[in-house]
Amino acid sequence: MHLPVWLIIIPLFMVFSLGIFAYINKKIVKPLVITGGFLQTVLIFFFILRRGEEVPLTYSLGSWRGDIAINLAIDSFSLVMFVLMALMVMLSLIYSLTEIREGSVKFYLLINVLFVGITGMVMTADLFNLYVFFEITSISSYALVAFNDRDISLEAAFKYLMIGTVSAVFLLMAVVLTYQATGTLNMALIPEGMEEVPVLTRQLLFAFYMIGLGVKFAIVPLHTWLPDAYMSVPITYNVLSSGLVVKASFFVLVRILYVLFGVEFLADNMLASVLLIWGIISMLFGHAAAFQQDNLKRLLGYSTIAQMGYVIIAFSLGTAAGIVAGSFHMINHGIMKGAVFFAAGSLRRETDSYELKEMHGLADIKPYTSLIFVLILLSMVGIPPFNGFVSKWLILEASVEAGNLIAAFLVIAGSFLSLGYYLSIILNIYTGYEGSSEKTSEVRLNEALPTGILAVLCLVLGFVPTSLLAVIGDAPVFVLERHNFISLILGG
Amino acid sequence: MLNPGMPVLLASLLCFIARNKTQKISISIAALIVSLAAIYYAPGEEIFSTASFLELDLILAYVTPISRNTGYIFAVFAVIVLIYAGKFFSSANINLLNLFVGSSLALLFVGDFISFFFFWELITVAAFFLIFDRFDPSLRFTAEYYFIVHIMGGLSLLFGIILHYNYTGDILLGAPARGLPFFILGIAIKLGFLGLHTWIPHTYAVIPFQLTVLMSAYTSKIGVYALYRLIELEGPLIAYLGLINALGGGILALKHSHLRLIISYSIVSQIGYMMVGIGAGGIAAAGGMFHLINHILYKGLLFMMAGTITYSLRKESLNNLGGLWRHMPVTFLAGLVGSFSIAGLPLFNGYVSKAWIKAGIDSSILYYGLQVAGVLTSLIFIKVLYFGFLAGGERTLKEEENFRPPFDHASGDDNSDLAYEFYCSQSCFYGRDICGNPRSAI
Repeated sequence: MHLPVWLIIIPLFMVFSLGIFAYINKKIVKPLVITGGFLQTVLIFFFILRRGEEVPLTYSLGSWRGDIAINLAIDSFSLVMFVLMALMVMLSLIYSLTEIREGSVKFYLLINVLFVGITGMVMTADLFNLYVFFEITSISSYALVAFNDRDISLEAAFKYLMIGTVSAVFLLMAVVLTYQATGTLNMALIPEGMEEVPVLTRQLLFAFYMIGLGVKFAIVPLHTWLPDAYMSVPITYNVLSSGLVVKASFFVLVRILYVLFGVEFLADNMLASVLLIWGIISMLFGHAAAFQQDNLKRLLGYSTIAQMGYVIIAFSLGTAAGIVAGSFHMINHGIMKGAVFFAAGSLRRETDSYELKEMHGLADIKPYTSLIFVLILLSMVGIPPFNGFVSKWLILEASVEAGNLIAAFLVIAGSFLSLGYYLSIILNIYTGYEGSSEKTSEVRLNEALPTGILAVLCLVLGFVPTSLLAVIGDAPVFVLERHNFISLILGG
Repeated sequence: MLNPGMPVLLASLLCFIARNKTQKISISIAALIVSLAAIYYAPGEEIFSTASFLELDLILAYVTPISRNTGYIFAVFAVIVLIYAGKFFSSANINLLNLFVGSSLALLFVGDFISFFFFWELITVAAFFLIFDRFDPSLRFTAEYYFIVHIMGGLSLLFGIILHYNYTGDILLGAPARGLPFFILGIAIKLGFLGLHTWIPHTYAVIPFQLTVLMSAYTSKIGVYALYRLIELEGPLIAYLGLINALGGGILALKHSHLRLIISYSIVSQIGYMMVGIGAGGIAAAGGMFHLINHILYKGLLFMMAGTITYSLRKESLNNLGGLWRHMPVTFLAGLVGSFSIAGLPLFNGYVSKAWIKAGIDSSILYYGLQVAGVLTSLIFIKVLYFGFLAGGERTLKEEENFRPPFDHASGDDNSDLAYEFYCSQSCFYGRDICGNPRSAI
């Protein structure tokens, strides 16, 4: 079975072949990209649906032995990211068909580079490969932020590039230091060597990994690039960034922390608490900052920061319930944010601006798109029967169970804060329309479809959360009990 | 068989396929009648509908005597509102009305915290969209305020539920084992406890009158129901808090001269009565819940009176009213019956429940406090009736430019009178009937 590696090969093939095909005939580019995305999605669905037989699996490149080869691993925890990829890759490609008018070859090339990076980050079980895939993701992100070629996007891309490069250096230092200390880069072998590393070094490593990856998932003091970057990029990248890039970086951090360091080490050295408090700060800061935004995309960017705070809180609890809750919220947030960004993109066509004060009364022109905002508001605040309620319930339950009453209370307080700014979006959209109500706008099927699918998913997951929990329910097995992961790769 | 609220919730979806408003109203009334039948035939004290959510078992239908009686009045009142003001609701609002009433009804019959919270929030959401009107910017802030206040209450309740669930491991509806302060905060916001009551006058005095009539019957009463079902405290603390509410609400009501503002503050005061009853326990608790039912009846009547005046004169300050009894005799009669009821005149329903409450309390502070509150209530409505209907009777309103005859008979629209007549008779009838047989209601 060579299927896992095809997940990387397909987008990689796209990257290198796209230029050639575009040289032959420009019209072929979009169908080709869609086909590639479709194949990748089918493959991902194959793993999700046949998880009983296929997962967990490990694929050693070049058929070397597990301890010396470069390994790709798919376990139950990877399925969390797989679910996100299954949804986001295809839907955002469909959405981008009409959004990207100029430079589509460049755009799809970069998007496929991004897919390579993310897939690699999620699957790899080798630290240096992780760093390579991390850089691939980052560099394509920098380029995509600059894609629109306006002043504001160049500034944002420059900022992102600077902050991102510094973070990459931190990650590289962490990888080098790990190699120096343990003598291996195989994530299955490091835990054994890690036991003999002095605690101070391990704490330093923790800090390096935290900073290196933290920039990418916008943990609070390192978040400054995100709102700027969100302002001026195509909606497709907004969705992919908040749905995949941010999530993949956090996913990798969780894997490193729990496999390399182990849950006991995190608990013994108060590092879990550090993460927890950091998550709370992230959440509260994100919500508070979102209040002050006049620009819809910036606001949603801060909201992403805040929602990542919830995920961090859930994962830092170090219990099975917390990891399931965090994984569930990761997916839910991807779905909600995806729907709301898609909807924002459709609204923008009427006003050509994301400034909230220029969006007055758009609900008269676009009633169904505006409804998405209402739906997401209800979901984000945690009102049943939407998926946001389920993930909030799980996070609350997990944190109360772990004895973190204050965290649970602040989660509630955070959702109350988020009510304020989401309500202001809705009130802006729904009131104050001045113009003829006769005006109707075209409905583009390729934009309506992804938006609709994600919005319906919000409702479906609210009513039958078990359908998704069945997929990700085993995630803690490979996170909390690291010997499962180690024996998966080393083979028994 | 499903929860008795389900037919109405279903009707809110069915209304989408209706072609015009008349059809929508017919569907809604039919659904409410089905609901009434469902409440009547539902087996008591027995779980007859369940569902599962995550790993929890939800009890979707469990009928207690209290919920059955409250359910009757909730369903009947929605029918009356539709008769009274069906034509003033916008088409979309009929859907929302069904959602609002349906979730209020459903909440009465659920037996676990998750579904309770579900419907609790659904009421808020439905109410938000009922209030919100994108063509009227002034309502924007009213809706925002209402929503924020109630979501805060809801989140507080959620936190309480989480604490309770974590401690006991089950989600059966009952007195919470942990997190009592959060339950109390959530419920206090819903029922308009003094200090947290601001949303009541803020909302009810501003929104269109037909919505005031509708919403005044449900939102705060849900809070009282929750107080009865969930909060069990040692000692009569709730009763004393209720007394503060009864007196404070009365004094605040007396201060104002805006018609619907007065009646809104009087809700706060009457909620206080119910709290006194529930806090004192025993027969007083039964009286408190009976007072809830009566309160929906007469407060609905009073808001209908206020609504008719608002509709006819387009002004609501008592300073500008007067002499209306000659021009609006039916409305005057309705106001009279409502005022007698709320003031607790014998032979009217308010008397019976107030008598029960007073019979059940053993503290003299509470007893005399309630007497004072009763006097305040009487004063409030003497003021309303005198300045609204009796004083300055020489004016001829027909000459005023703005006057619209109340629900003009010439256009064949005599629905409101029908609602009044039905309503007044019911108000009196209830009083007499229960006098004969005090146990028949509870």
